[in-house]
Amino acid sequence: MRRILYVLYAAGLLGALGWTEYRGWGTEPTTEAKDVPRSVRNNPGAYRPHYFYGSGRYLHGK
Amino acid sequence: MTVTTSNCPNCGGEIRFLWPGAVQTTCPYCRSILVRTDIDLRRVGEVSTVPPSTSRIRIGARGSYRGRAFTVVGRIVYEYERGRWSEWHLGFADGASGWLSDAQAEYAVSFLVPDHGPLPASDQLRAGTELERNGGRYQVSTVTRAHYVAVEGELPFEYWDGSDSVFVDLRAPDGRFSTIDFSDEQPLLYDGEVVGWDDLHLTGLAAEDDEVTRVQGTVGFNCPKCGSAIALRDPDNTVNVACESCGTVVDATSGAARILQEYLGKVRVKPLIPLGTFGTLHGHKWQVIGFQQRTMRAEGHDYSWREYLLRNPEQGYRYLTEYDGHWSDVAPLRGVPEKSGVLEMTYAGETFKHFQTATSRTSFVLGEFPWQVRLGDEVEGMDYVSPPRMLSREDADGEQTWSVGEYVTGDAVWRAFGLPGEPPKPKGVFANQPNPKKAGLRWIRTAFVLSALLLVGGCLARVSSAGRTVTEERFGYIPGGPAGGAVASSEFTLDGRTSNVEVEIRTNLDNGWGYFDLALIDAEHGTAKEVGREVSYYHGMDEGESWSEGSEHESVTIPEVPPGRYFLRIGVEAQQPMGYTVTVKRDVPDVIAFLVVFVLLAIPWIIAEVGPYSFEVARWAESDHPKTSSSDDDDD
Repeated sequence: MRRILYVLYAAGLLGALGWTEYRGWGTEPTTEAKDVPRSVRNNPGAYRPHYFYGSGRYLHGK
Repeated sequence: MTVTTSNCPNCGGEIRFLWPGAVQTTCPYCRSILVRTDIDLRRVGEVSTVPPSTSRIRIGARGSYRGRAFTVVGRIVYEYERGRWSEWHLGFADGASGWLSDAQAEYAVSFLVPDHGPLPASDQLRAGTELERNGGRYQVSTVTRAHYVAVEGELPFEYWDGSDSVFVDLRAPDGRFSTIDFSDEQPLLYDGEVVGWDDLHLTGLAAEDDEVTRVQGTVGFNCPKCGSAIALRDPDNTVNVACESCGTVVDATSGAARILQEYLGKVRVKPLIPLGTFGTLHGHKWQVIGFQQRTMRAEGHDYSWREYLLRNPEQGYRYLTEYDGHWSDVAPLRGVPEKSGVLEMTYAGETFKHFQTATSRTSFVLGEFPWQVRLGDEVEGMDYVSPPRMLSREDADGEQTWSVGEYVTGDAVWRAFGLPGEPPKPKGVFANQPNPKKAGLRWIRTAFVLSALLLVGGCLARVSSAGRTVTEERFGYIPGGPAGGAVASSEFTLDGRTSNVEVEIRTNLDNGWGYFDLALIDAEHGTAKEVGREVSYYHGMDEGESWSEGSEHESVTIPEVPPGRYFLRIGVEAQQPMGYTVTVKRDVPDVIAFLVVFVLLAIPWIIAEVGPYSFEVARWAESDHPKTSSSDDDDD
């Protein structure tokens, strides 16, 4: 029984990894934004990421 | 085989010669010893009474050895300090003469070697001495001082005197056997091998159930101490018997029932298997005829185990040992093991690790033994283990014996002997106890290795084939510049399936930091995936030592990006001007994920290893070599 469990466990892990790699899944948290104006390319300074003001981004420095 | 006949010159009885080469025979009617001359038989003396025997071998029995037919034509009975053994004379169909040694039902066939070359003197040989012979390594197993006590039947030489002579037995690892006989002026050498009863294919034997009539001597007497009846179960070979009522050790060889040792101890040990019980092991019927408790002292504590002596008239003797509910089925070895390392022995291709060397003493004894056993007897023992087997060596009185034991469960012993109730539950871990937690360990090791290989193979394939560069652009940043330091990259196309995108930023920062707001914007659908990354790099000298911190480059992987046309919006904040390059890669393998999966695959294997290892630690804690750190338990 333990053998079957390990086979299932290993197969599950390898399968999940394969699917993750195939789909490009990752752990990096990204913020999704919609309705981004097409003019951004011409005036990139006019566009601010959604979290720019609200999340209180921490600015590092020495 | 042609049988020739003659008449006894003493009584006229018919003498039948079974072997044409016979030089001497004995008259079955008047017990005259007759020497064969060219024309007649000459009487040279009279044999003493042949001691009682329970052996089924008798003169006239036939058999074969390595395909060569023989007839048992004669016998010499030797006696030594600790008992007796028989040498049966074999007349082969091809006229050859051989010997079948029957020492407490341990059998060896040997032949005289006429031109054997120089041999060592008897005083140069001790138990354990090694000799190179016949291209092999022999070890002296016994050095015995003995004399013959009786002869019967046909022998290839004439009557000789009955004074003590030295006999040296040699054994090789493959079961080859030699005897050097120092009874003559020039030592005689016999070469052969240890054989099993079944290897001899004997027929014409005494009836199996006719033991009483085979035994012509004393088969029972009363204990000279307490008067209880003592019935010998193995009168042919029994040397000592310990009265089951009072424990007095009695000499069973003289017929006078002489007390050898009175039992003065207070502790009486009750055998779990009563003496006289029959049981079936390895397809043969065995009877328990002797029982002894042996005790060793280690670090101020006494450790006692019990040994049951089992006897089968043909198969010989074997033992059942019991310690804290752990049982081993022990048989003498045919050959001798070979030393294969400082603390290792090899026998029959199996390597055994040294477990313990200890001196043990007999602390209680009951029943019959074919060797002298008395309370307080001491032997030095060495044990080597390869669970479930254990090799044991015992050294005592010029004799070195090897045996191999195999762990058996109490339930198996109970079944074999039909004992009532339940066997005692085993306590702790025994030296040769199989590691129950190793069941499936080899399998999970294999499964883990195969999974890991698959994983590594997949990782290598991904690393070598994926991660192609889509675009690379260089930008500059000046604090307070236009658009708040934000720029947009050229458009680029991400093709193929939905996959990840890695954005790598390389800067020329020098003791400074920069923060990058990245937005991967879908030029067609107006959606964006936003992430941020800081790049900082500092370095310097501190008390003569150079140091650095951070890095001039950083990367971020954006997951699940569908194919399409994209561009990057890059907003920068920094204290100092800098140049930076942005590289976009598609379908980048996540090596960290492979490592995580590797660890997850390894966890069940590691858990599976821990249990058996702790068992091995417990096993070896009782040895001369307790385990302290690394595992070397790969013997499942």
